[in-house]
Amino acid sequence: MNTTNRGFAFSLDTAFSSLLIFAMLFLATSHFNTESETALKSVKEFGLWKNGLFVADSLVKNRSENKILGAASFDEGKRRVMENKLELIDIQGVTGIDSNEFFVKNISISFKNGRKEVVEISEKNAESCISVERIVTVENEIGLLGVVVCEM
Amino acid sequence: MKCRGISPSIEAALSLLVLTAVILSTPNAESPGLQDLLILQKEHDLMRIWAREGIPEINEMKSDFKFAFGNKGGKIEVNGRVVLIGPESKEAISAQMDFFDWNLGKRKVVLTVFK
Repeated sequence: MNTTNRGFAFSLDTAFSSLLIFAMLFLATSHFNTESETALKSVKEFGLWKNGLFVADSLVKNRSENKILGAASFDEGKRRVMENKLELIDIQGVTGIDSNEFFVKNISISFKNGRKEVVEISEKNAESCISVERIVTVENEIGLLGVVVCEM
Repeated sequence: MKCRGISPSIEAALSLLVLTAVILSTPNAESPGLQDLLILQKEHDLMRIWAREGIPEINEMKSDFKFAFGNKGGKIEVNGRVVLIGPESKEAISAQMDFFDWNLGKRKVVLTVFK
């Protein structure tokens, strides 16, 4: 690098090469930044799907006093929980779930004849929500249970 | 020009350009999802209901399939008899159920959903 009393004096190809190098460094860092943001977002989304899946599975497979954790029917004669068999009154009695990560927004049951029952559990708004579907019988009729879970 | 310090040549810069372009063009890894597991769970739910309520006629099974899986294509196999539903695909998720009815006759049901 030559210096004169007027300041720095680069050669033209050095300047051009430096420009290319800096441009590549910029592209590489912005690419890695985008990749890490995408990875973080997909981890959060995966966590929400996992929680939704667990809540829906627990709802249809278990029986609990807290109906969100288990609303399956109990067969007194056989003395066991009837998985995927729900009563409408139990669904209507579902309340929220305590968690810092997610909340249950609503539960719905759709029937083949077009009838749909929706139970609103939370009125909070959320940017990111997912819906998990399971198949159940309600009052001896096959239905599609939908559980909407949202990020806190 | 005689000078001290680093003086990158155009060839070196172009090589770096090509290397960075190759690194940037690598495809992004697919984010892991749970969609396949959700489909498998619904298949198990449907077969559990059929086993408990009694295996219905094939038309009702088709109707239950369409209700459960919407526009997705699939296949129901009952004791070797195959019924296709909707569009086919090379990728599928399948579940099988073997059970004994009241007469201890073995019945095999295979439910397949095309992705």
